[in-house]
Amino acid sequence: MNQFKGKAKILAGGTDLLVQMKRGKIAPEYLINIKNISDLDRIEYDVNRGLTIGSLALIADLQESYTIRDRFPILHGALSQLGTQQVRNIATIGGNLCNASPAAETAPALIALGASAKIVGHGGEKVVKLEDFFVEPGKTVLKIGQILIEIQIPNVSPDCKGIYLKHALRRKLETAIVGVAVSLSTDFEYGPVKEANIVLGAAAPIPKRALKAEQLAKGKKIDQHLLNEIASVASEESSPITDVRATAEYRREMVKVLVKRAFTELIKI
Amino acid sequence: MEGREFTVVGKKLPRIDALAKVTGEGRFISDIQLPGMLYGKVLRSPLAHAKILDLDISNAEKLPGVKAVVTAKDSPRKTFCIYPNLANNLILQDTKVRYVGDQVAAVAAIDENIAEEALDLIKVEYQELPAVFDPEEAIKSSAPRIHEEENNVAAYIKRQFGNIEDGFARSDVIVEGRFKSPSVAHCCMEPRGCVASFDLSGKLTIWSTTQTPHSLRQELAEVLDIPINRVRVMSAYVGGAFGSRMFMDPIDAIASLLSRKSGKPVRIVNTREEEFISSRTRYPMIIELKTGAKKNGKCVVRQAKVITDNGAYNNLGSSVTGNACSKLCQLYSVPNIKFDGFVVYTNNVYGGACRGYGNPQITFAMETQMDEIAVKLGMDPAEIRLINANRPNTITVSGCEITSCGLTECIEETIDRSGWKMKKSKKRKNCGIGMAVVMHGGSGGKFYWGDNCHISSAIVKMNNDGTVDVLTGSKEIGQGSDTVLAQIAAEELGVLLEDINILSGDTDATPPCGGAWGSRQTFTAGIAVKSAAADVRRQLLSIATDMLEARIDDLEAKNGMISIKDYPEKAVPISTVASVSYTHLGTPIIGKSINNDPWSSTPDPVTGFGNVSSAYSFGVQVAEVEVDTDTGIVRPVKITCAYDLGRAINPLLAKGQVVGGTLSMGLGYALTENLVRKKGKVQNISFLDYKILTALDICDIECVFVETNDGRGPFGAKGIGEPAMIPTAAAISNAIYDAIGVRVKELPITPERILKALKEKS
Amino acid sequence: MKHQIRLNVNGAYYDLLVDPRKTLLEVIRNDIGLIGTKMGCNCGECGACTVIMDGRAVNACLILAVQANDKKILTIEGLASGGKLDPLQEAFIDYGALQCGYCTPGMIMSAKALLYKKSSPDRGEIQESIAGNLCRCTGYISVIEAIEAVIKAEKRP
Repeated sequence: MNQFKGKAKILAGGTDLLVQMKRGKIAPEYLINIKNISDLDRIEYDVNRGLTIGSLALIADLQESYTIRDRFPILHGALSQLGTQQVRNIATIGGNLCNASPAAETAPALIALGASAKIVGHGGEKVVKLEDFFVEPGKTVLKIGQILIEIQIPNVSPDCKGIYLKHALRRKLETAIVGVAVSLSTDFEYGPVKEANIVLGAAAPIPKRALKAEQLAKGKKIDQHLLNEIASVASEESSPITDVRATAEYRREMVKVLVKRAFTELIKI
Repeated sequence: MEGREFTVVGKKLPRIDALAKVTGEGRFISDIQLPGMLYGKVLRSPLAHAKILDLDISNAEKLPGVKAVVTAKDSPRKTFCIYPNLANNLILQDTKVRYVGDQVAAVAAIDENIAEEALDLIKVEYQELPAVFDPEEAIKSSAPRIHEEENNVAAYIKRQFGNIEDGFARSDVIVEGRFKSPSVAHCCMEPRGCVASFDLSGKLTIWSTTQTPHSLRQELAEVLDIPINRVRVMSAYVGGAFGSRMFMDPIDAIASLLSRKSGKPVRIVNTREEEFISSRTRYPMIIELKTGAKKNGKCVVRQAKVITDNGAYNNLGSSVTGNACSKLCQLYSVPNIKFDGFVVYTNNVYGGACRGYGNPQITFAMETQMDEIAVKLGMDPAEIRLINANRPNTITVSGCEITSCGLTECIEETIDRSGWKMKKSKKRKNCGIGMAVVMHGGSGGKFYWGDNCHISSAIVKMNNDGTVDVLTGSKEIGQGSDTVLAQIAAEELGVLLEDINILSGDTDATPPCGGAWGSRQTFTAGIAVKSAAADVRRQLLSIATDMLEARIDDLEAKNGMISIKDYPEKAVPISTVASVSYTHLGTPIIGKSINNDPWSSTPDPVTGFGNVSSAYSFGVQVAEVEVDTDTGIVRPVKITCAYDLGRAINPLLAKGQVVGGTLSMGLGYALTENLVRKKGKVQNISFLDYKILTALDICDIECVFVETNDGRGPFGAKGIGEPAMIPTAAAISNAIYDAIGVRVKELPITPERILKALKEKS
Repeated sequence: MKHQIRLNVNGAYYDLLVDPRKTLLEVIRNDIGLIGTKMGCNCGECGACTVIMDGRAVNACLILAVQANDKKILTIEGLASGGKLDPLQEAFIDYGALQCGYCTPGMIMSAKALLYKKSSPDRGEIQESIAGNLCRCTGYISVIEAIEAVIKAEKRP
């Protein structure tokens, strides 16, 4: 890839890349098909290491995986809400992440799960936390000559539950107006929250953790009053834009609503 | 006669084109491929308003693979519009561009990539001019002028019937409001396109996604300056039209110019982006409406001021605004009406016909206010509609002659079927039910210039084996007109549906017809086909009198046989009669007919008085919704419809019109669809951001027909295509009010508008 | 530089030399001449170009022809066999599940792919499977009913 000096793009599923090319937004001289690299589409689960997903794993395969559905429902939820059936049948998890759309469905879910990205190429091999993977809209930490080869997701402890909520006008064929992933661990149903991950999509230039809101939730028994506060803080942590899909103001409001709904779905308030 | 048992009419028969369409065999315009065919692309203006200072095509012409480049210089400089007196658009602009997407040049090349590359090589020097996009700004005297006219008002329509001062003085309750409706895209699944081919003799053959082939023939002949019979508009399947393909699009003429210049067939098919940028749209309207009613609920007066965004050029803006006025005058027979309609130029793309033709806009306003009046009077919204409902055999204040009318029955049907009374009395939180009615022409009408627009003619030819060819200038665009017309012919002739071969839309072979618009084909073309078939039947019966030794009045044609009415065993096959006619008598059996719509009249240009349509269709929709008051999302739950369509020639297809019109177009108009522009540039140029609904977004629907058996319609039928989508937005809006107590008077009713209204309420 | 590819379309093999920029849709329509697969948006949003590739519904406009090398493709033309329509095609006709017909081939292919995957999907799964096939005419209800009718008929012994 180095030999093409930035004139090349990596083709995974192509569902985003081809559209961008057709619309004239990008015009790479070369497309590098990495389909032939073996094993990049694997979905492996290990009781100790957790889930390992090759970057070329198809969204549809992941969505249909019973392991993911049963052990990582938050990811299953995000996958099910991504694109249409036809798109899920060719789109890849790596493509969804490397395209670096702030609205990408899988990113908040994976970040909430504490996932990491394994990068190889120029400069060897490294693993970065997925929350550090995104730089700005359309840009990741990947440098020329590097590719994302694997997503690693640690095992979820039995006391942890998660959900991804996507807000959009239609039920399908949508870019999220706002997406929120929340995972919480509690000792018992009404118990205090031990760990909280709150990740916002389409609410900032990159998928973003609402760290202050998480702090607020940690160690506390959540009641309606506190939940309102958590939601408000998460909303303050967002920095959405106004575009053709929604105003920034509406997005901030939806962050609040979705965070509240996610908590309410997961634990008894 | 229409009380008799039918054998073909009234049956749920599959479409005659269904096999071709489910197997992929059906040829659409974009499937037409001719030997040596070139691919055309149009250079469109990136600016909303600019002078063209210089246009240099030399580099594009030099690009290998480019076979022709055309600019305004290659065309006779003829402005076009279906109303010639309003024409101010050119097929290629020469001195000025007036919207983002306006066409300035075009290229034909051996493939699409080369054509696109050539577009990049055309140099246009523009001098940008101040632009205006908001019609309320454009109407001001200080606004930039879009045409060489003293202001941007393209048309002013003033109508007054009765006395509104008196009407308001006598009103016990008055409601006023301002309603806004958006610019929406038709979103035909097949992009607009054409293949044009000039031969050496100078004859143009064109396949176009038109819905009005005979009008297109005439328009092309005019802008290309050739006689009408030098243009042949061909027939192929059209992947949707909904009004957007009524009349000529510049690309029809541009492809023709490119073909003439290159000597090769040229295909131009819009990209989806071009569809959103440069295709016709539904005219956006700002409607200020004031309605007065008596304590008993009877509406006595209506006053409307309408501002229509005409866009950059005249097309149908004044006609659509006029139709909105017409519906203001007709729905509920209100005696005192005043209407002021301003059709205003802006630097937006120009609009066109779109299923409903001004009626969805005004119905949204009128039917919202009917609800408001009901609330003020403490009446049931269904009750107030029953009180005001149009009745059969009445003449409205604007001169519209209502013959058949089943509105009352439709309202009663929907009350029963939707569980209206129970749902109105037992409310569930954030759930609501709302009603809206529609009245619309069920037969087209006399809106336009030229005989080709409102007439329909047909030729029915019986072959010597008893099979039948029906030649009609109508156009199948998916609505099912070919099937319905074939059923009408089969019923009238007493033959099987399979015996009918229908050819529609090919202008060399079919007699003139206005085409598919105004929900008119079942009625208007149906009458023509029915009487041409009756002509054939008479000829057959006349020949059979000798064969059966009976008087013509004693004979009937049924199930492929001609028999004596009282002695059915005495019969002769129609095929035998046909054969005898050809081989022994030497007489071809050809029936012909024209329906020039004798019952309707073009409204008086000054007063607006007149009976614009020969028949009117009515309908009611009851919508149930659930509103998420946190997010503002409205989920439709169920829609119950009842329609008076005279008679359903084919209930399967008629139901398809209602269900599709309501769910595919009506719901989107109510809730999600809106072309968003920034400085005139459309921002949502894809289906991802322009939100027509998916299969997951629709709701349950129940549909029932009230058959009033119209005295003029073929077998009693009236049109149903447009009425299907018109009342949905108002019904949804009224249901939202019932659910959460707020009224959003701007379409689409988006989540943000719901939340804003809730905030204002609290 | 053109690429040599081999496609299996509706059971027939096609050895083709294609421009690497060409999509599977363009190759199916223009090189192979199967025009039943339609182009509606060319961006993977409308579903008019849906074909079945290795058993799954895909947007042919989003796949480069070179990516489809060695794959098995089924288009609308390959559905009827021996002059007999597929039950889905029959049901679409009977239930009036089409009007203009432009989305119909893609819609049927999506439904077909669903039935490969599941023998008795529920209404929600049917809606989900065709949510990527836009239709401006029918309002989808008749399409859903047609698919349900096929499922019901196949359940019968």
